[in-house]
Amino acid sequence: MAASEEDILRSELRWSMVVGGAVALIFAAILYAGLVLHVNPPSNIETIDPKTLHLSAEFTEANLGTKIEAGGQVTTRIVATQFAFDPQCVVVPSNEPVTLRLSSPDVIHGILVTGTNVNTMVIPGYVSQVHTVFTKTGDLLMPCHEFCGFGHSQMWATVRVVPRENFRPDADGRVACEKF
Amino acid sequence: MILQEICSPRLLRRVDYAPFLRAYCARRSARRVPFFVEGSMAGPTRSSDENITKTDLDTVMEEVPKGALALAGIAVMLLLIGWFFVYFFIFIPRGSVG
Repeated sequence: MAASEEDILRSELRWSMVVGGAVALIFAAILYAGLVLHVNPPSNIETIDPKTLHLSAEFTEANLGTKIEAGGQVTTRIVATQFAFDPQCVVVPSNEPVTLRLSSPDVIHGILVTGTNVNTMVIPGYVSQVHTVFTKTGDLLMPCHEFCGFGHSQMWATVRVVPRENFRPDADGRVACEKF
Repeated sequence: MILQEICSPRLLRRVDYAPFLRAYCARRSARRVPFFVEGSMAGPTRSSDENITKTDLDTVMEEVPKGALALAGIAVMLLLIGWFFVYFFIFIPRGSVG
């Protein structure tokens, strides 16, 4: 007996339920990651003048790198330029909330930290901000992942994750790679 | 499919084919290769072939949807396994970010 039109419609309905279930499962997993595990795309919108970036209060050379703010928050500031990150190496403590703040004075760059979900674009005129917690200690590679010119492949930095007990800031609340 | 249309009796009557095409259609006809199956969805009945019975057609129509469902089911299952593998073993262990 050939499949009747009713049989075909019934199997199509069953199939659409299977596909709907799969889509609902994926949506639930995404919502769980976003709402419960706090894994979200960085969504900071903050503008800054790229022409005076190195003269601004926040991204002056003396203010770059890792610093413990007044409230105890660990903040790392990095400038991405063609074709280097300044500073080339930053230190962060493990198992503690860290805020990465980046900006660019020239062209669009991008960063990711290997082995973590840290991944953002660095766009001239904006401050990119990423909150994360590094759970594993060691040196993590942070390459530029947006083609920014002929020296793009040479543009990378190191994120040095150290145990919390070894993370000792100096009198200004700063921690540099040279100490480790 | 195009060759089936070319060899349709309607066109053979109306169009003055090149000799090699007439020979091709004659060979197909001699081998009893069906051009159009009676009652099929290819179009109105224009030819029939005694080699294919209604029972054969029913058998095929019973089997085809099962195969399509099995193929689609395996494809979607593999996609879901791949997605959740990346989700649980790569994405989640990499920690929070925002």
